[in-house]
Amino acid sequence: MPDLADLTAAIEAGDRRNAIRLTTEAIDQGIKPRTILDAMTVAMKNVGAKFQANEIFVPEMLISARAMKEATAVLEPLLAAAGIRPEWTAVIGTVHGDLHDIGKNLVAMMWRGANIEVIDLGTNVSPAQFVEAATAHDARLIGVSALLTTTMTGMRDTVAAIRAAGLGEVKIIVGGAPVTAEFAREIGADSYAVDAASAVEAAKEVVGASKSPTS
Amino acid sequence: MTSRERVVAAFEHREADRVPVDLAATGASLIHRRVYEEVLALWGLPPEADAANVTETSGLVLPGEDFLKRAGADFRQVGLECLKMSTPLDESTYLDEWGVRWVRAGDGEPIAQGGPFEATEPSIADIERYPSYPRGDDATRYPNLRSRVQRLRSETDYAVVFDFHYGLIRECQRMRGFSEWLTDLLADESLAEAMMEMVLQTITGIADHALSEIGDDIDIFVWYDDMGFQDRPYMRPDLYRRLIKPYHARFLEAIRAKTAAYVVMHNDGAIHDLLGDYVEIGVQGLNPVQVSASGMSDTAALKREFGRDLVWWGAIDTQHVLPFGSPTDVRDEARRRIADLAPDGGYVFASGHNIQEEVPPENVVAMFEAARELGSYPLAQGLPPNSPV
Repeated sequence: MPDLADLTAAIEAGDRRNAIRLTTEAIDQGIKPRTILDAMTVAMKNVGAKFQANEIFVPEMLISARAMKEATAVLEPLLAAAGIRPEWTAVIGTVHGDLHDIGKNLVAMMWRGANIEVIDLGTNVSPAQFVEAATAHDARLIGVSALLTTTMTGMRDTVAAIRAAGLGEVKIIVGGAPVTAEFAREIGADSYAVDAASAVEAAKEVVGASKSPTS
Repeated sequence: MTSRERVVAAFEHREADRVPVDLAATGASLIHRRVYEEVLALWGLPPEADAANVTETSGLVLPGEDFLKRAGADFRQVGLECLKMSTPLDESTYLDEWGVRWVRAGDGEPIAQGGPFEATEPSIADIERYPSYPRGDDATRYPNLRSRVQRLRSETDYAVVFDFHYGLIRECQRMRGFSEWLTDLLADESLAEAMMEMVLQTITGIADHALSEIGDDIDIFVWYDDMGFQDRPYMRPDLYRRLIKPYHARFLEAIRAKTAAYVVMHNDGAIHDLLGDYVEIGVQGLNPVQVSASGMSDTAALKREFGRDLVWWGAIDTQHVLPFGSPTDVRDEARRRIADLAPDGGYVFASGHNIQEEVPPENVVAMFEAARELGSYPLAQGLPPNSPV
């Protein structure tokens, strides 16, 4: 029986070829898809911890996320067949007027790595578009990103629109270079994340432990 | 003392009569048109015929002479006109001279969003054979460069800045895609190197041509390469040193062969761990000193650590204080940064990046007033209110 620790290690190392190979082998050996998936999410959890500890940088995170994505793609048909889906969905986007996306993309990668379904709306997203997508996808979480002080102020409208739409239990996390925890509180967001790794913890915290994905 | 003498003193780490001030002599010390017009009104200045947006697609302005004098600016620049080397595609999109697509959302500043090597995996041959690298001998890039510099030199006492608005990594990132390029550093090193080699040859060619005209007549050479996010460098420092630093070193060697001007690097973000490397390869000044980035906020510690090795250019916080603070907060910020960075020269007072649209005009006035009132040597004794003990 292949050691799933090797799969975890391959994803952590950003080794996409071995990640795919080990996933295929594990499937061939009849290991349960859920078990294989768990080995992958553990890898991304470790990557997040290293990033928060400043042991790795964005390039390392990118290649790990890519290895995870490609290995998951191999596993996807079996997950679908077994009815294994992420427990809940997040919507993410960069605030209106802002075209920057690297930070938002990293958060999306890390959320997917934690087995959260992510609907990525891209950049320059209006408050109405956030509301529409969250409603259409029954999202539990909305992530809003901004890079500029000029566009950061637009996060206020976005949070207000989401609250006004009466989306009930939907939580809002904000982040981006100029954003602070204080600003997040001021505009009524539920949480703030300083980087993509912290965004996973923040997501799990606000959505609630009983509703969080595994690992 | 003339502006030029004041600036030379700062770069020789001597105290002049006051701290030199920069407004609009670099692409990172400009001001948004709306704020500029409001400050004009506060200063009781009439509209200026010699003010202009830096490009047609930018909201950032090069103020006129009256405004610059009122702000106490000690520098004048050439070089930002290279930003006009672009081809409009529609009202919100253009191609730059590298073939990179730039897009703006409404009135915002354009950002690079689509390079020639982004959509598909390029080969090294693709990189080397790309037909649209900018040519150094394109005379449309810097019209009348020599005569403009010579006029500044002979008719004014300002320090002359050549804002060389190019860099190595930034061009690689734009052509290849930001994430793609970061991924290449680990996943395809030879591709990353092929790109850096072609970009290095290109920007060295451009600099070479320009410096043949003006190298002897400029005081400052500013070049650009952002290497940091808000919280950390783009890559592991040891990776920077092994893979990228040699290209930066070669570039600066080429520059030094053509000019004795002081070399200032524009570099945003949390780049503390790379500063020693920049000093090693000949960087003499750092702009904009993004004090809100990790590892960059303790400007007293930065000054102690780098002593006479670096001139600090900027440092007035533009992520929090300038846009969202009060005029008193701005004055306190100015007092702190002057106290931290200006002893023994080695500081150029400037905003910590372009003055954006949401900055209250009163804060801009407060900033330049503080530079004037608090920047005289010898500096005021005693600790500023918010400096670390």
